[in-house]
Amino acid sequence: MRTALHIVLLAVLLAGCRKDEGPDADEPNVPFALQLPPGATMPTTPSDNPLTDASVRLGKALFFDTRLSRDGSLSCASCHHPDKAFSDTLALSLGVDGLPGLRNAPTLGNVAYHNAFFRDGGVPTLEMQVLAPIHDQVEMDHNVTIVATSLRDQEPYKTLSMKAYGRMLDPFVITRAIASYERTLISGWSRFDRYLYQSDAAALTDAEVRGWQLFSSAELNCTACHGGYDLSDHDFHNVGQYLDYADDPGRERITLQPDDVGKFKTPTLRNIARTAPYMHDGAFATLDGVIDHFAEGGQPHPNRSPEMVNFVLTPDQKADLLAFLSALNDDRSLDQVP
Amino acid sequence: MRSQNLLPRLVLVVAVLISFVGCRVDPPIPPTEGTGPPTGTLRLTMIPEWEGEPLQFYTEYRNVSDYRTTVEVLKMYWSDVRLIDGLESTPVSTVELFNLQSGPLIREWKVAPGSWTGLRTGLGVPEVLNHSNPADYDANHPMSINNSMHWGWAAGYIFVMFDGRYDPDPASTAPFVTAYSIHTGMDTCYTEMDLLPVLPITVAKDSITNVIVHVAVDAFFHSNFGTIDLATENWSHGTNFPLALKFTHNVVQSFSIE
Repeated sequence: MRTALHIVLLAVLLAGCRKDEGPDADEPNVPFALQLPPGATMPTTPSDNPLTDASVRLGKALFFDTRLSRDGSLSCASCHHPDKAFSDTLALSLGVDGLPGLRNAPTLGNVAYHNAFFRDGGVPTLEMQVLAPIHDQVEMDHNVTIVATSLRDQEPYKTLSMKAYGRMLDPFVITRAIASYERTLISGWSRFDRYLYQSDAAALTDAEVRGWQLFSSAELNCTACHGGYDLSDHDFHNVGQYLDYADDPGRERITLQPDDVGKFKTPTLRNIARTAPYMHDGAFATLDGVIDHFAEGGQPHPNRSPEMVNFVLTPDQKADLLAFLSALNDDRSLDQVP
Repeated sequence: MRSQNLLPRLVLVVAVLISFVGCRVDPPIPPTEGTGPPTGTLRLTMIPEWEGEPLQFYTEYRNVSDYRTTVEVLKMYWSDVRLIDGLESTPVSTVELFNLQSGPLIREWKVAPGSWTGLRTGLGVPEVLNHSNPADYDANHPMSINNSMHWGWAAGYIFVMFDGRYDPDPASTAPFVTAYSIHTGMDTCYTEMDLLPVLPITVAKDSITNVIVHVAVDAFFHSNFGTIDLATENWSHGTNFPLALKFTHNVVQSFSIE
């Protein structure tokens, strides 16, 4: 009896030395099995932030947590909602206290392939991008250190942070985990992808095929910027939206070069039918309006891209082009709210 | 009989001791003395001033344009701080953040003994540091996100943060309502400057060498580079870059050392 008691006491004492890392802390952290659609390449990840099950789970939990905002009203998903292909329905998203932001919230689909972030490309990594909305006074208006302090002892953050990064939740972990989750938002399972990358001729309707042919034609010249797997060159162009960009100089804000006034990063067209309104400031409510703008060639701003060419579409051709753009809808890429 | 009762107790005592030893945190090993290079201490005192007197934040002054002016925030980065003598130099500090809100600030650094003609420093941070991730720094590091000196939209640091209020009417006694806010940053604003005292800076082993850096805040508004008229030049946050460059030049001119 005494021996048994001693064994129990010994076990209790030894248990006192164990680090408490949560209910599944002992399960191994494994690489995240990123599923890539045909035609997609494996995105690169920073050496200090490999995709793992734990980092993605942690990032997803943070992405949907409204405690990242000062008043607890907004999460990342508030302006990048899955139902809207991780974008917003407003021209300018509203931050805490209802303050409007500077620009239209873009989709996060395929951000894993971008090499610069925000519409002016001012931020070089997804990890650093995370800081901006948390601290911006017209977005979440909070402090990432305060966020980390308030969440670090709570689950699932406590366990997942240790498992993914071997440290308690802090700004390092928050920025990397959210970036990891965002890298998993790969889009490439649309009917257009089946048509193009899997040789499934029946995946598109006749109207959609005609729209694709128009889209990729030399006359419309859309693919000059909206080409490649992501239907974007991820470069910066002035498309003649305005003559005066005093309200938002775009890329010039970062480079300070006059030649960059009015240039904004080419957005992906994946899920484009779900991400209205359009352009950097949400000025166009519909794709119909966007097509009209490009057909007219835009305003003659000195920095307007030479790729901007006037074109004329019949109503049927315009309908075909719109049909093609809708064929870029990709339900599978729309992750669900946890 | 007695020995049979003692054995389990002895085992328990040993086990308990082993358990506690397992939990013990080893005390830090003190540094070994006498094996490193000899060092002295360089103590720098930075004093913000207005027309030669210690600056009082939130106090009304007259600036070069005879505007009623207050100063509410003054923070700045120094980086790549070195003691220099011609082409020779010795490192002092990689980066320092001076928040002068509470008046004079003191910094102390261990440096190699020697005699130097001055101090060279960057105003702001150089490109590599400027675009580092503030989330990677400890909370107490000068480049931590906690210091609110980072532009997330540009992935870069604010080099000098200078905020206050002004009133172009020198005769007014009304409360201040109009703010100015000049924040410099971006790689183009990074500027190296040499602070050269009359006498050399001599650092001796195991002793403290004092240098005093005066910051003539009233000179932020004018220098040989130009005058800043707050009525029209009162806002720069990455925008209005000509103002940021003029302000940077004026700040560089405002330092003196003794």
